[in-house]
Amino acid sequence: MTTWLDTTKRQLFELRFDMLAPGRAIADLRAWHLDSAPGRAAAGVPAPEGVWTVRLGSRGPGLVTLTRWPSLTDRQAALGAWLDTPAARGQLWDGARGLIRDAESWILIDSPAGAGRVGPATVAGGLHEMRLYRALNGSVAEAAQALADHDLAAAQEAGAQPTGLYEIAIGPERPLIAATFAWPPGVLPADVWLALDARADTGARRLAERARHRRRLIGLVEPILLQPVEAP
Amino acid sequence: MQDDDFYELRIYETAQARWQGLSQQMGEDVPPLFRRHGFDVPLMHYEGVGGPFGPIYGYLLRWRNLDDRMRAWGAFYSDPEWIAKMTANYQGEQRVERAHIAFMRAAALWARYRGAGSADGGGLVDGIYELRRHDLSGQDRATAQAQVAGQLDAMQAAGGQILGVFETIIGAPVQRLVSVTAWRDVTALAAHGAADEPAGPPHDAFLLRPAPYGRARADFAPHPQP
Repeated sequence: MTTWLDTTKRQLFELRFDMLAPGRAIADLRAWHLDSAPGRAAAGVPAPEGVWTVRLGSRGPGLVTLTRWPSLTDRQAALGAWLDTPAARGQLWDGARGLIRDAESWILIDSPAGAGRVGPATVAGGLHEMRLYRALNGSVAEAAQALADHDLAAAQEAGAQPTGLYEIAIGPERPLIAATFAWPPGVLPADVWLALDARADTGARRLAERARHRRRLIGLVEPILLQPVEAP
Repeated sequence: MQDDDFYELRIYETAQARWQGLSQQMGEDVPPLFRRHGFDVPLMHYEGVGGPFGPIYGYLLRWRNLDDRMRAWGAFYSDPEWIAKMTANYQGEQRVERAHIAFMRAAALWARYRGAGSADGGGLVDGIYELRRHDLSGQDRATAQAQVAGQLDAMQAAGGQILGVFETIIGAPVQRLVSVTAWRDVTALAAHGAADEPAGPPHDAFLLRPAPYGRARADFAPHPQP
């Protein structure tokens, strides 16, 4: 009936959303992230796999950071301890003077369905996108495979590079699948997704999924448009 | 008291009218499987009887190490006995719609209440439980924590028993305190009116009824393995 994810054999990532405090500029948060990088590195925090500012979407304006961890014990010893230092707490959270109004931290696990589809961003200059897909409970592996076979493939055909496909292991909501994309300049991602939705084979596939599960395999989708933060 | 453990709060949004089968499975099928894979007995099991959304079912776990936690859940989910029992119990349809999972640590504030309600040495706590999520974001931390303490003091003075106070670290939004207060019954809950509350940061709250097999011990003391 189901294929549960085995969380012991795959790679762990932390997805962190730092949401900008009212009255602060995103440039302040970006500068803080870059300026504090040496301190994080000294505390044992690995260089992130990706850092973006939220251009449009939920949890914006703010900063999104994706970090790969060898283990959660390492995460706690490095980032957990660093975030709890008076300096970091003061800069991020210090009442009206803090940089952020709120933060979320999720644990992600790479999806095997993304093998062969995802890779480093090979296109530059366009928007990046994170899409959060609500999947049917108990059918996450099937949903991830469907996304890899159809959505990631459609993005590639439109010139995008899928840069990640993850299952949310610990987060405010499960089952949830996250996919990240680097889009070429001039492309509005929604146009590609609307064209995919309008295809006859997409409609037929979704009807078949619904007949098989008596529910939708993939429900609401939340797109977040991002812009990568590059080191100066 | 130094408490370096991790606490895992699980809130399941359940399918309408399919809660009872889930509770039965958690009470009968799951405990031996949890034991097999190194879980402690959950500190409480509950159903939601009030709050921001429902129906809900959930439980609270304690871990000494988060990597042990990941290994234990991985082994549990891939256990053929679990898959067989879950498949039989679900009868072709999911019982859980969504799961909300948060890792927490003991908040420093908890020390203020530990021992206050355990005259019988960590006995099982009856009644109904009020779980609050206090939002400290965007506020001066020390001031907001002091305000939460004032609110919990008032609940305690009104007969509430503070079972635990936690701080979220991963999963739920961070910068939240989570408190669990036991009330003898709904009359005691109602007697502590909202108008009696001292000022504090915003919070939401769930009202929880512990499952017959899932009552907490005072101070969330561990349950012995059967």
